[in-house]
Amino acid sequence: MSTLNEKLEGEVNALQEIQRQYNTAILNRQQLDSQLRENEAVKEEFAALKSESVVYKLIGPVLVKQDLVEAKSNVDKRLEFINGEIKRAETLLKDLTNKQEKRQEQILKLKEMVDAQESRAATS
Amino acid sequence: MSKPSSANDTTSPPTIALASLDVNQLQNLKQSLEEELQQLTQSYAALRQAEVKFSENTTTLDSLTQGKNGSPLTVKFLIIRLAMLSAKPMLVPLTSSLYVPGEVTAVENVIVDVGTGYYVEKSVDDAKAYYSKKAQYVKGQLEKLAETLNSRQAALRGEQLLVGVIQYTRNYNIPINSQRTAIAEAMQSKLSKQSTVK
Repeated sequence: MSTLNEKLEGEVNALQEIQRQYNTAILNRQQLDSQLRENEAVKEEFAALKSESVVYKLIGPVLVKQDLVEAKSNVDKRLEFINGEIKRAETLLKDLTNKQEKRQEQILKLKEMVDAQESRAATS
Repeated sequence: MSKPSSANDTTSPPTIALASLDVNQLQNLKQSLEEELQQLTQSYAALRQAEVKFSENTTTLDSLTQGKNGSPLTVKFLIIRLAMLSAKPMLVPLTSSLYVPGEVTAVENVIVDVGTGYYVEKSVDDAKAYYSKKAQYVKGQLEKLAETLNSRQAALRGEQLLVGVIQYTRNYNIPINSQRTAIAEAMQSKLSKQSTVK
């Protein structure tokens, strides 16, 4: 009986750990989303610029003049990267959700077993 | 009738038959609603801040061009002009302890932060248009968010009422389950009219 209880406790701890991971994954996903939006806004702004417009990039405390074409491709590259990261984050989230569900099922099963054992112990 | 477990699912529209839930489930629902409400309130505050920032930029840009078309002068404008006219070099901070001399030259163009570390040189008018567009966008989002906030608050209020009803019927041992369901259903139909929760 004590082994069952121990097992149950272990499962609950594992579930909590997964939930922690899930929460950080969610935060990460949200951060990626805001990065995506910011980059999309910049891309849009660049697209509306004339070719003679002057673009600077903030490097440390200094604004450095940038080539517009280069800046555009840089933003495109970033968008590509962020989209990749988002896909990765999504699969991670799905994976963690599955894991959570499995653990929850396991916990329910164990709990039923513990309850059954206890009621048996009470009647005998 | 959807499953009670969808109470935790914020992505799908929660058309939950409140009357079918027991007190525990309702309490869970209440908690998730409250959390969501808090998050929405935070987003709202952040958006407000952004709106203030953008409109501040617009007024500053206005002060740059003041005096040209006979519009009244402001202190901000005078300070900027004075800095230009005095032609005394000022120190531009590179770090908190390292400076280079500089002076204000052209104010026909300003440099606009477009995000992710990129800055674009724009004419004052273009910059104004840029910021007013941004402000408009933020305003639209604020309105949408306010709507969602309201509907969520309505849902939370209705939910609290229902918890009260159930606890009341329990405390006073009112056995008529059908009556409870009737009250709850009546409230829910009122609720769903009030809040088309997204």
